[in-house]
Amino acid sequence: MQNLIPLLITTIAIATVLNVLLKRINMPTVIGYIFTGAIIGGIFNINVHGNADLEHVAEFGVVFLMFTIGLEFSISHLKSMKKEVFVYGFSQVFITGIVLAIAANLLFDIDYKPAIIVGLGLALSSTAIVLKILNETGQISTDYGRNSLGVLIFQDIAVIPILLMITIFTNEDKSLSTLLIETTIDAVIALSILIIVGKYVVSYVFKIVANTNSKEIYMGTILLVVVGASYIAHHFGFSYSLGAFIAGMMIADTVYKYQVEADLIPFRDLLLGVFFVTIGLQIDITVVQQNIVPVVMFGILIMIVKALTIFSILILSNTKKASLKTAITLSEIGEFSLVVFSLLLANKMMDPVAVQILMATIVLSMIATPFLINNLDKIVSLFIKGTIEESPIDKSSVIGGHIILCGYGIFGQVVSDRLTTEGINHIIITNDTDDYVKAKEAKRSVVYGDPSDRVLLDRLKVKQAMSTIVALESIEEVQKVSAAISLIDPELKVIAKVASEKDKKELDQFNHELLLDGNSHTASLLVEQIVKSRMLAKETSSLKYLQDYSLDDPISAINCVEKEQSRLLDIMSKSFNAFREDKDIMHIKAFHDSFKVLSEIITNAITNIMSDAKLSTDLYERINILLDNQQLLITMNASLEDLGKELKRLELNSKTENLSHMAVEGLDTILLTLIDIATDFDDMDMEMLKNMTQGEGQGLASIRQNYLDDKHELDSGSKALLLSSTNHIESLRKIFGSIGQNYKKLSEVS
Amino acid sequence: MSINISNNDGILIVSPETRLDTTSAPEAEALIIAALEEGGSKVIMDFSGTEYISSAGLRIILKTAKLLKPKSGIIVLCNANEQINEVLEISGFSTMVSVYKSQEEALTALNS
Repeated sequence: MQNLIPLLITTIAIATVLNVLLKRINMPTVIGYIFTGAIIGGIFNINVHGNADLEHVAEFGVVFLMFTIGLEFSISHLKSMKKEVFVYGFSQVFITGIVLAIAANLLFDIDYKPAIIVGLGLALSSTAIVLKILNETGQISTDYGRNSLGVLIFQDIAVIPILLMITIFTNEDKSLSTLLIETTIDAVIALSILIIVGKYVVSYVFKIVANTNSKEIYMGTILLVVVGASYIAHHFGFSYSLGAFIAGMMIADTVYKYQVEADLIPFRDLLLGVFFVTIGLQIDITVVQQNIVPVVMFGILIMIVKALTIFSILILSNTKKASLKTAITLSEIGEFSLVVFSLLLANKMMDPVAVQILMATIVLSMIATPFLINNLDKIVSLFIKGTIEESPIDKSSVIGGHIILCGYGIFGQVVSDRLTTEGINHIIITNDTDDYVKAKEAKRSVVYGDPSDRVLLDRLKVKQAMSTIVALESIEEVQKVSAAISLIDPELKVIAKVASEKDKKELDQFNHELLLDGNSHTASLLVEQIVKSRMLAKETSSLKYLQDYSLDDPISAINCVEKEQSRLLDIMSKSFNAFREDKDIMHIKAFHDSFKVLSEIITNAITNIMSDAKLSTDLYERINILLDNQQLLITMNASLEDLGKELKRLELNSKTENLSHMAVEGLDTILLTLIDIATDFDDMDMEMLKNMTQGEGQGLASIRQNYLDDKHELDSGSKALLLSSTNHIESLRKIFGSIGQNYKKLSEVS
Repeated sequence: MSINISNNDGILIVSPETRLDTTSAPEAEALIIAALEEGGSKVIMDFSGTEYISSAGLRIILKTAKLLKPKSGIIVLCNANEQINEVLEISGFSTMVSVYKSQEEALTALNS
């Protein structure tokens, strides 16, 4: 331990340098840590076995990983994954275990007991590596991500009986039945404690701790829960990780889940780093050097056997692609296998050199895993040609003046849809099998290949293309395509989307026609829309008459109010126009907003006139009518705003689309008549308005009946929308009629 | 010509084609005014060839009614499709103007 500080410094230095270099070639940090361990082991001559402290620290990396996985797994989630966990997981461990046990029995000439342990140990895959990568890349939510997770959970549970078997095979003091009964009792006690404490105590404790508003106490509590749960499981003979996983599951259903997860991630990643360094430490370079051929051969053979077994199990109820992706993802041997082999070695159940060879094989397979997962699509495309039916390039798509669209992810699909709508000829290149199939299904012209492949770009006549749009998400991919196009011809320009200013700078060295900064452009469009709406609101709400009013001249003041009120009606008619012209909801909202601004000014003016101006009885009568009108107008605006939203929704349904248009035309007709009355009162117009707005709404009732009967087959949501909108129409008609009546009274008073 | 106007024994029959909206309404208005100036106080607006009517179109009906009022004239509608019937109900026209299923029915009503 006197060498601890130099050892730590060297470890951190090597890990940092290696990981920085590996990141440049897109490799996960896992590899860097394992190599660091191997190098450190060589330099300092450290053997992790027998170093209980280091083993414990390392194991807690996996403990924290399992806890965070548990956080994603509420009981209900686990129930929904019972097929993946119990059917796929059990079949995988059982079948692979038997096959590999027979192979071990024959190859190493060992007894059936250690052969079973070897077979089952080799059947386990690496939870730490696979879940770390799947989580980081978001692939955990894909179908093969879900399959992999289910199988890995079962494997983690299976570690318990495997370790128990070692005890049974080496314990000659107790009978098998006694051991089984003891283990079952232990399992029931451990699970009961974890579930009861987790469900009823932990969330209560978190509630109290959260109220202290102390990050320190919160962190301490999280560590207590994780380490405590792990210890309980370990005390009863189970793995630390299983305890942590159950504790995570218990918190998954509480509101503290996200905070706990966020606080724990730095710890988890750091301890996982230590774990992978200790994996590297277990590589005995001398044994590997002397047995390099068997190590590589075993590695390849075991991975093939595991992949074939998993594929055969999954293909029965999964697609070929998902089955193969899961099979490749889980083909490696995992960290728990190292624990199993350590125990085999400790119990002298197998030859130490054979165990070292197998342990080197395990580490080798773990190193291979990130390469395999990162290139899953390419590997799968080698085996399953059927999913990517290589089709010749559609010549009509590359006649010149076309667009080359690199990538068909979410952004690429939107770009392609817009290009198609505009009738612009384009061809898509993608090396993602899912996206390729999607493009084919959408009847797009698409080729499967690497968008940065210069030969392919040349075949797609990139020089004659109008533009090349790079719709790829990662900046590294955008750079690769830009570089390839620059190499073909430095004059060629590319359009790309970047996520930030920093990414933009990364592309400075290449020739770009347009670099669309995703965040900045979206923000600009959003603000532009708001500014436009605000301008519209300002314009329509600007006063035309009221600025001239003076309480010293109440007649003019009242005339001004009357004119501004008729402008409110104009604003509403303009909102109908906006609806008719299919303007967006922001545009229509701007009219309602401007109505409110102007309406408030008019209301204030009416109040001022009523309270401060010296008015004759006639003028009081007039201003009183205008006040009533004002209240009706405010109600009208609110009602129209609600109706506008409802009509926009009715417009989206082909069965009610026409009704939505007709409601606008019908109401606008009444409103225009009302505007005629407001600006130049006429008895005939008034009579027409009265005719249009009177009645008990029988016409609307017949429309309702027509749409609500079975002929239109409306769903319940549309029926509710229809009822609400016709009610709004009915009340608006009444409001229009009442405002008209007020204008009649005004004409009589004036 | 998006509006056809004919005369059936002193009854003016106005038949808009396809759409009666802001584009075709001014022409319809001018034709109706001109025809009414020549005489006649009964108008049938026949929608058999009309698919869509906007507020501008509906206001032509109101204006025609206003023109006919001093002459004690009348305007009636016929052959409205489902969509036009809906707009007549929503705008309250159906309580103000008679709507007939066919031109014959409208003619019979005006001649009686």
